[in-house]
Amino acid sequence: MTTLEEARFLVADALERPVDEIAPDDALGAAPGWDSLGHMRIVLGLESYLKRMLAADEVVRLKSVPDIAALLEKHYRPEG
Amino acid sequence: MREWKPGQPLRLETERFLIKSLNRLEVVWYTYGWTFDTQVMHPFGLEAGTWTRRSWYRRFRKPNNRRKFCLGIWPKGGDKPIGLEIVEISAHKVATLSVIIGDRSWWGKGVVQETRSAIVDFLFDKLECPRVWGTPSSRNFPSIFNYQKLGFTCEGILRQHGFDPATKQRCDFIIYSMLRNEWLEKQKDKATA
Repeated sequence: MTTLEEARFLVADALERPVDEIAPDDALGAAPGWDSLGHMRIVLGLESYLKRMLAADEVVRLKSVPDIAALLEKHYRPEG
Repeated sequence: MREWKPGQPLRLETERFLIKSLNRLEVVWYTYGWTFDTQVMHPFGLEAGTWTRRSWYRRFRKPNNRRKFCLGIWPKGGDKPIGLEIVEISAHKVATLSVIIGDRSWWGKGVVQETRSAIVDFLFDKLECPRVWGTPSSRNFPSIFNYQKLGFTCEGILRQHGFDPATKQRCDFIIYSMLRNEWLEKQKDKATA
């Protein structure tokens, strides 16, 4: 599974939607349920998944599915 | 909108809401109940359940509808406000925004997107402010969403600037801003889309 697919699954899980409804390029507000509360669920879900609290500069970068994938990428390959 | 003059109560209208000036006593009357709700208060770094009506009253410097506005958000047909938008304008016309949605049944329903757009329009159009900004806590994810969705620019992070009563730890604040020309450009793009 690529980090982009993983990001889609994480977003779908947080929003309680089928993964098919989350497009690989969805940005905040675009996917169904990605409103302010949905965004909170996504960030908290991501923190729970990564088992750490996100830093402020990471939080502000989370605007889309690719941004979440980039964060996962950085998590898996911190030196990359 | 009726012609508004500085010092007069402001009234704005959106598709679903009326945004109306409240005086200090009205703010306390309508919002004091929210001070007992941790989920409403904690994102603002405020403890819940520790406020008296008097201390809550003191927190709101007198809104004068010139440089300081306390604006209740009323659903059309509703009998009480569900939220409060606060705007403070500096001597150099920079407007600081903050908002509390005290009625949880309205969370996630685009209230801030809709009302803040109207308020920012007013600030840039009528008051000719060159800049508006806000500083949500880095743990206030719904607020961050709202600034980002409206197209505000993240200018930086105020490290350990605040205190998070939920975790009892220092927390960062994020600076989001919008310039007048950026907002007008976005509105123009929206109109032509």
